Amino acid sequence: MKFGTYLRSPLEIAAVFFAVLMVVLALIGPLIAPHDPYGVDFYNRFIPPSAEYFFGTDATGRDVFSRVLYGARLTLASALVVIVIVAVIGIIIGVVSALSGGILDDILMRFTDIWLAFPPLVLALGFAAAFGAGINAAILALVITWWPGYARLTRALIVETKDKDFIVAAKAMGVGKFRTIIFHLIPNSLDVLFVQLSLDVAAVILVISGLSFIGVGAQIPLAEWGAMIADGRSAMSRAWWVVFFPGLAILLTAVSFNLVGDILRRELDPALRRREF
Amino acid sequence: MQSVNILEVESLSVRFGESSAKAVEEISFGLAKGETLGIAGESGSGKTASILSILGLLQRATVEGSAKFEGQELIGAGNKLLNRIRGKRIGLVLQDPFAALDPVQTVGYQISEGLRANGWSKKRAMRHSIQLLEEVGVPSAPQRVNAYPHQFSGGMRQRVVIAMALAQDPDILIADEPTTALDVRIQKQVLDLMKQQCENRGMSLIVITHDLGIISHYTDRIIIMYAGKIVEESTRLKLFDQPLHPYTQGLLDCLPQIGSNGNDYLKTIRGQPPILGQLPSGCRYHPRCSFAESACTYGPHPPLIPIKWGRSACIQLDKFLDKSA
Repeated sequence: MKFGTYLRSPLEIAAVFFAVLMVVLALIGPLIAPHDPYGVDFYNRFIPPSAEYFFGTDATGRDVFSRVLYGARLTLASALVVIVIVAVIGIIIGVVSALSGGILDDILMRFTDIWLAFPPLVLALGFAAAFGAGINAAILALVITWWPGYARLTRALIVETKDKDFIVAAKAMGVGKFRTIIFHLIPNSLDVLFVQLSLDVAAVILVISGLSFIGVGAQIPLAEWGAMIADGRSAMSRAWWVVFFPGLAILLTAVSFNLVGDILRRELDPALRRREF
Repeated sequence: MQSVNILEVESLSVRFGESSAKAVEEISFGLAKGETLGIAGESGSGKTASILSILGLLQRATVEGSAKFEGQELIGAGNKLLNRIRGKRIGLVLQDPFAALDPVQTVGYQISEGLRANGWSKKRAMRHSIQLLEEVGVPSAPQRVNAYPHQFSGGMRQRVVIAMALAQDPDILIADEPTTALDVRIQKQVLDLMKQQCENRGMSLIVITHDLGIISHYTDRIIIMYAGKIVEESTRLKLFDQPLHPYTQGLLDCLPQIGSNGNDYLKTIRGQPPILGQLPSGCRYHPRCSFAESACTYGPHPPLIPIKWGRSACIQLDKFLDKSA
């Protein structure tokens, strides 16, 4: 298996590089951060990028570079939590719905439709009003509005696969229903689900940052990219670096995860599966 | 004689969905231990539906009648009982080897899946898979066992599907059009393989096909189906010498003859098989039959009349018997 055959352009290589870099930074960022991301230092306000402060400092003298590193962990971890929960809920409901058919299928799908009707931003605003704004309210709002997509996608994939000959063949071998689901139905849907997941990582990051920016997600002192932009926007004319670097981090992460999703879509396409490895 | 049959099917009927039309209507046959049985007929004649219904593999279908395996009723049986029969006692080879294998699992996994479900260890099941692949003639089996279906050719895939069906050492092997998706040279290899495996294991074999040429070489007894009904049952030797139903005769006439001068057109059976739900009155074959008389056109479909070596559902049976006598 040669890595090079999967990546077709310098852009794709860069995208995979940044996606991996962001994951690595999320893991080890706090270990390599040169300063305390919450260390206020009023003598060093708005210092431009320099050897001491790579990305400069903000209005209270906090090191933007360290905050971006901490933000990578917070943003990616929240996105991961959202994605894992919605995928698990969505896949379970989708599989049950597809295999049960009949009334249960209808009930589950209409139930899904109801939740699909909630716009994530508005619901998050509602949660912020009800429970107080915070990253947890944002995550909850995203989970509640995001799982229906996975339930419908999974149902469609399973319905398509469940009448295939190889499922009949497995049944004819005396393979039970549970084993068929785990080893045949879900693995045959994973290619499409993986693509959706990688694309959604980017989308969730954008929404979390957006929610934090408008003040209903992560709250301002927290080192979260969206909150950092909100914090720095009033000083944008004299200290561009305070908003620029977290913005760049959001941009690069979202674009690179999107591109990785596109690469996966191409490489996992069932029509291309027959290619010799 | 009836009691020694390993599989006994009695007035089996299959209806799909809500429709009242029966894809299979009241068919009965038996299968003895070690016997090879061919079931032939045009597309849509109910061959596959009847076999899948026995194993409870038809979806959205109503199955009536009885199918007993070693005296155990399979029709209407729960999954628990059926899962003790499926694979373990009755192995199934599906028609299309390109569709019958899961593209995301290795062939070794798929061959051994039934065994794993029975609690075999991974290692033991894999060893068994390699041995089976060798038996069905897949070269370099120890390496190939970890390959994916897309890395196999059509003929090799069909061998893998056969290995899957043989994995749990069943008493009956059912092959649904096992050679339709294969080219002629590979067809013979695959059929020889199945026949040989059946002889080695003392297994009964049911081959479903629309190709009488296949049946003539590989089965002891033959059932001809038309529009959901059995129209003739005969032995291999008798069927070709003395077909007892005009439909069988028609099918035989459709086969190209070796030794003809090549200027003759192939004969065909005129018309189309009837559409389910719009079956003609009387004998279901009469609109296409060149021997049809007015007696053939009304009443129910004629019953099967037993004869010395089989059964036929033609009311003019005496004529055929006399003609050839």
